[in-house]
Amino acid sequence: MSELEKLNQYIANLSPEDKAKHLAKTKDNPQAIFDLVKKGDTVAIALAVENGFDVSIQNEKKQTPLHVAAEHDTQLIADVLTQEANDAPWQRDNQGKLPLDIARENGHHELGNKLEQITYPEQFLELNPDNERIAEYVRQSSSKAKDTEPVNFIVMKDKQIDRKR
Amino acid sequence: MEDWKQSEAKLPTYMKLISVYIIPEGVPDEWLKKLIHQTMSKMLNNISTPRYEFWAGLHLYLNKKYGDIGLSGEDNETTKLGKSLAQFSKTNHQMIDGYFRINSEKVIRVFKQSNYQQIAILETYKSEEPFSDTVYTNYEGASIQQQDKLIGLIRYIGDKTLSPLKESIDQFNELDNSNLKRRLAGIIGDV
Repeated sequence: MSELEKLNQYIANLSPEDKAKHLAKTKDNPQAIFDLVKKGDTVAIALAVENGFDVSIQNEKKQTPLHVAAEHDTQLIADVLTQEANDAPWQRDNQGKLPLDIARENGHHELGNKLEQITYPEQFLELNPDNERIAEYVRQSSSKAKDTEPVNFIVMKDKQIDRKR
Repeated sequence: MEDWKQSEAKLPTYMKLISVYIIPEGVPDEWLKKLIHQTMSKMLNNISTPRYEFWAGLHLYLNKKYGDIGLSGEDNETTKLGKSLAQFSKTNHQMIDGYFRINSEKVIRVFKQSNYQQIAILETYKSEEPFSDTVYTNYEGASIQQQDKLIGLIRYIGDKTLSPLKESIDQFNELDNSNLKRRLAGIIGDV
């Protein structure tokens, strides 16, 4: 069982009182989610997402919570924020950076590799046609006119992906 | 910088040369025309001062006060900072180098250069709550050593804010966590 599945199971077993306590952290102040990412408060974020929180929300720097998760390498939180296909991977902050760019810039390459799959899902679906999560992001991306340009990829013949230098 | 405002250096053509030296693409002529009668004091009091003007002025001021500081426009920011720290500070001849733990939440990589140190700092935080994620915060910068102190400036990689660094080296312990070492190495890269 993955950490995300364990988390979802843990949340399902929380008492209504505990759920209400966690949901209160973002109920009246949606911007509080950015602090929750910086505190690593995965449970509160997962509950908010489960209850329809808009994960494309932006702060004063036009960052989404996924940008902040990428900055601090909070990988389980990034999984929570992207488990349902949404537009956050393609939103740019006020410096024009995607969450993927932030992860790479901070040297968080494990998370960067995960974000790469959903930022450029078409390339990865070709390699993993059975991956339903990536397929969802392909559907999500095709419904949006996004300005990501996956020009720095080569799909190799042996199905390995490499980056141009 | 206490006597900055008393420096009445004017900023005409000489500044153009300085500016080109600092940023390879140079400063647009239309900006320079506006600077002919400017002084440091006026610049500091002008909230719309463009960054070219400020940095060129600072460079001019430092040159007047200390002589040529020998920074190349091809140096990266950390190198410029490190060389400046070394030039304007009294430093130890012996410098530490390697990976160290400063305290339970902060580790450092010190990478010895010719007369300063390039540094990477990683702060980690993890709450006691179930499923809490470990939060990593990266900094980079430059330092020098003065006796048992590591003194320098570090920049938060997220929003580039600068903060001073002053740590006692005798508090450092060698770092033996390979995950944290890998993360620190990723901040500086293989220089």
